[in-house]
Amino acid sequence: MAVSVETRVARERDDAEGRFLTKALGENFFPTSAGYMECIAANGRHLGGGDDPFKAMARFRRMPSKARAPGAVKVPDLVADPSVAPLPPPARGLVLKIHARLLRRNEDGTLGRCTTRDFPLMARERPRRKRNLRSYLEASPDFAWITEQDKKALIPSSPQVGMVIVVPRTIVMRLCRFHLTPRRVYSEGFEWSEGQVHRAALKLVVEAVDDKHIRMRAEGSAHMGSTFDPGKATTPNGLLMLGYAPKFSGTVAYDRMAKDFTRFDLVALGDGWGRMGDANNRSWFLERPGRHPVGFAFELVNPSDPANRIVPMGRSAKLRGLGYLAR
Amino acid sequence: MCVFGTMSVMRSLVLRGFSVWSLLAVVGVAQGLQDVHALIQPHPGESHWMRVPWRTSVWEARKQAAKEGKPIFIWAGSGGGPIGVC
Repeated sequence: MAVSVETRVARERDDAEGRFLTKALGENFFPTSAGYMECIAANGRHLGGGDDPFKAMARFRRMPSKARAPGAVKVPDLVADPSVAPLPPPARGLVLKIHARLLRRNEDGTLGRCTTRDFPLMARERPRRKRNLRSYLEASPDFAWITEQDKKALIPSSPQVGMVIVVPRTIVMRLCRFHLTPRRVYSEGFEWSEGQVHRAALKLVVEAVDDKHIRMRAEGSAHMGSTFDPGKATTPNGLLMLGYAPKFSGTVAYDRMAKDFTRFDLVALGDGWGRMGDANNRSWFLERPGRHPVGFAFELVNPSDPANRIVPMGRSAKLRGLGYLAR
Repeated sequence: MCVFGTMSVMRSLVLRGFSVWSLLAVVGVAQGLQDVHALIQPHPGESHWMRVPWRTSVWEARKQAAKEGKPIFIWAGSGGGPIGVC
């Protein structure tokens, strides 16, 4: 039974789940924001680190049957600690799964996936380190939430082809500030301030409409962070701070009978530049000199799937403090 | 704006639910929206751990593990663990 959890939530919750983990792993488990893997039996016995699951499985099998057989351990319902438990997605709202990826321009004008050779700070690393860093070149997930009230603002009441719906600023700012940062591909800990969003506009244009469906085209643009300056966009530790200027393009479909959105495919694509820093904002491996394409792909997902209930930016405490859903 | 040459391409894209509006028109990229959307998303061979049917509640996993007689594997991270951010 595999569980993916946020370290801080697991560590700080004051309820039966927190006590279960403390009993199994001892005080001060998951002490930092780093990743941890652990194996535990349902009765609370610690089976070992998750880095050797075969050893943990062997320990589990050696446990007495009365402690591990199906139905042997009774687990009551949880009364969760509301102060730290992850917030649920907004009722009757939308959950958009986002994938972010650093991209490269191919010689034929197409975009492609990056390799370690595209990053000067990575290229000089040893092969084993490079292999580990390669995962940062893959798609990085995130989730955006749209409330029921937000959703209503996106539905044209008397739709006609060509009609334009301007996406409310609160929604566009939420997408831009909290999700459209190139640093999202390797970090949960960064968002733009309101003042760093210089442009953020998104509109939906009705393309097709009948009694049952409305299909809309999404288009717009944004600019966050610094203004590109080729003389300063150097690596490592150049003078130019992070900047990103994507264009939006997408297709949104609404089912008029079901009264709900059935598709929300959106791409934010544009160049990013400047400092891709670590916790101290020193240049990290993914920084490149000049400007390079960065893409974000949004899609509608089913929030009843546990894997789609991760909070935006992956950090429950941060979500509470930032007024993420504020209007 | 239509940037494709033939009605058949347009019809094909419309039927697939995608706009015939190409990213070519806005960011100078020689790929359509669907191509770029797919390019950004995970590709075969990437992020193998995403194929695991993860749960996001230790307690719910504990209940299920007790019911099925299985151990619990926990992967914790600051951005929500392996299926979260970062």
